[in-house]
Parts: sequence; C-alpha cells; structure tokens
Amino acid sequence: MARHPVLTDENIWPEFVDAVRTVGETWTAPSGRVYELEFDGKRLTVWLEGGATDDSDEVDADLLELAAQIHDAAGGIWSSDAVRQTASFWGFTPAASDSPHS
Amino acid sequence: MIETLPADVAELWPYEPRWTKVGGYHLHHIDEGPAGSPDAVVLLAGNPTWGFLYRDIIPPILDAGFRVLALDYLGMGRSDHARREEEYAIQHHADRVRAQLRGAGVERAVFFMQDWAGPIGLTAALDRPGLLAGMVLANTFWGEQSEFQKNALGWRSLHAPVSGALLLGKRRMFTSALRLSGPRSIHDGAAWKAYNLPFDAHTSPGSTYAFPRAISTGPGHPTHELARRIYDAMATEVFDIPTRFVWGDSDAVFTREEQEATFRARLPRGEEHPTVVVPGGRHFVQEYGPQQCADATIAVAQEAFG
Repeated sequence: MARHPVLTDENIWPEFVDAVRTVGETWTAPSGRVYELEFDGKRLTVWLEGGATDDSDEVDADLLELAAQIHDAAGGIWSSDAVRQTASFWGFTPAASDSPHS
Repeated sequence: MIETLPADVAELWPYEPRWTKVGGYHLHHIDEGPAGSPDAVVLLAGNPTWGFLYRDIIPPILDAGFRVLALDYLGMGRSDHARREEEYAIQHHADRVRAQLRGAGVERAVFFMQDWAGPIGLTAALDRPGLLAGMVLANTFWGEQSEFQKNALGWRSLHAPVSGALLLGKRRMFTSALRLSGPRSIHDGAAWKAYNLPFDAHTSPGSTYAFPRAISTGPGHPTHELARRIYDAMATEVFDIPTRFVWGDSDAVFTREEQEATFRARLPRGEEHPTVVVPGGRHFVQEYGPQQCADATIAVAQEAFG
C-alpha cells in the first residue's frame, strides 16, 4: 500500500542541506509522534511513522516544530523564533503542547 | 481545469472560458471584444489571484473598443495545477504566457501588470520583441525582493525548509494575503469564493506556494538572473513605449517610493510617464480603483494602437 507523506518540500536550497541532514531519518516531535524523513539533497519528504495519513492540525504543529529545529540548525539569520513569527504572520498559531501524544 | 463556475461566481464573471494546451496543461483565458484583432489589451494578475481580479476593469476597456484577454497562469485561476514546483519557475510562466498569446493570435499587446505580472510580463516581452506595445505597471516589481520582503522575517522564512511547504503549501495560507491586502468587499461572499475556488477545486495550493519562494533574495537565488536581466533591459528601447503607473498608496510590500521610482529611473523617458495614485489602495489595487485602472489602460491602448 502506498504511503502518503504528511509533507513534501521539493526545493531545499543548498544553504539548508546540512541543516536538514542534522535531523536524520527519524524524528520524534515534542508531542511524541514519530516521523520518517527521506532527503535526497533537494527533495524532503516526511511521513508519519508507518505511513499513516493524518491531516490534523496536531501534525502540522509538529511540522512547525520540525521547521523550527531546522532553522536553528541553519543558524545565521534563520531561527526558530523566525519560524514561529512567520507562522503567526500567516495565521497559524498552534497551541503549545507539553504533553506527549498518546 | 475548472470548466464550470458556481452560479454566484458566474454572475460576476460571465465570460466564456477559453483553453490553450501548453506542456500538457490546460491554461485558461478569456478573450472578449473585436475577434481576431492582432492588437489586444492583456490583463495579467499576480499571487494568489486570477483574471477575476479584473472583473470591473474589463467592461470599460471593451466599451472603448479594444480586444481584451485575461490570462490565468499554470496553477492559478481556472488553469490546471502543475505536478512539480519547478514548473512554476517565473521563466516558465513567461514562456506559457507567450504561448497563450501566440495561440490567440495576439501580435501587439498592452500589458496590465500587477504583482508577479511584472516579472512575468516583462520577461515575456523580452523574449518576443515587438509584442509589447504599451504597459500599465501597478503595484508590481521586477523579481528582486523589496525592502519589505528583505526585512520581514515572515517572508524570509518561507524560503526555508518545511516552513514554506507547510504554511503556503499544505495549509494554503497565501490566500490570507487577499484579506491582508484587499478591501473588505472581497472578504466574503461570491468574490471570496471566486478567489478561493482554484485551490478548493484542485485541493492544492497551485502556484501560490511557489511564487513567494520565487522572489529573488539575491545572487544564487533561482530567480536572480532573470530579475537582473529584466532590470538591465528596462533601460532599452523594448520598453520605450506608452506607459502609465497605477499605484495604491497603502501597499506595504511594493511602495511607490521604492518600486515605481526604480521603474521610472530605469525606463526610457521614465520621468514622463503619468502616475495614477489610488488613495488608500493596498496591494490588490485593481480592487480599490477599477475605474482608474481601466482609464489608464485605455489611455495607453489608445496611444499604442492609435
């Protein structure tokens, strides 16, 4: 059965390649959900562990955390604060969650 | 392709859809007025809008006797959506505009260019010498980031991994720009439905996602060379043509002081071209001053086509 990614970014710029690679092939969000990543140097694809489909805001909140982590790894002008400001600017302000996903 | 419109949208946009197949995709445009005329006014929109943005501007131009085309880019309006983001590169948009105009038999055009229509239309003109006979430049730019875009983290982060794909791609948030930079009259009802229709129907963000990431941030950016080419060419005879500026004076993204001033300084006889200011007009100036937009376009068309 085909797996459905929760996010695909087709165009990772060279300046971010190292930052994306720091995440590795498996990433655990603060919520406790686990994600699988595939990165070929330009295209980044993210799946929920096991390939489950989930279009919920909770998954998008996790993805925002992933973006924040990559921004911090990139350094320079990029930061997790910038990501959160960006999300807020565009109207996405997920509630902070400190309780693990169950 | 979106073949039919909801009744309330069709009431506001009663034009017959026409289709050009380019690169395997169906691209939409309308073509009204004197059929077969080689001269036409061509209305080009930006992000995240489509021909609908010109619904109140088209009738006066038709009444003035001109052929009018309004084009939807790949991934916008009623046109198909691409399979890959790279197909939304600005050069490709410009190539497809030329193909649409060639298919429609347009030999000379007056372009109305707002937002991304600037880089797309100017590139199309450069790639087909003799096509552009006149132009209206309205709250637009040439592809290089503006001061606003340079300094707003909210813009810069859209270029970074995951954040752009999440916010503009998966969550389709660029349509909120219509509420940020358009009048209240389009915040709901049939107009709001019309602007969201392309993305609801295709369940994808289309080119709305790719456009912000295509704004050049300088050397090394995929759009930088094209923006540089436009900037250099602005001073050439290609653009020594009848021109008007129309500018909403409350646009934070593309200000008169930065963008219009640069165009004016670069274009041949730039200081001579009149400006129509739409007071209180934000980025989507067509929604704030349709009559002023139409009047400026008619004036240019009369000069260009005689």
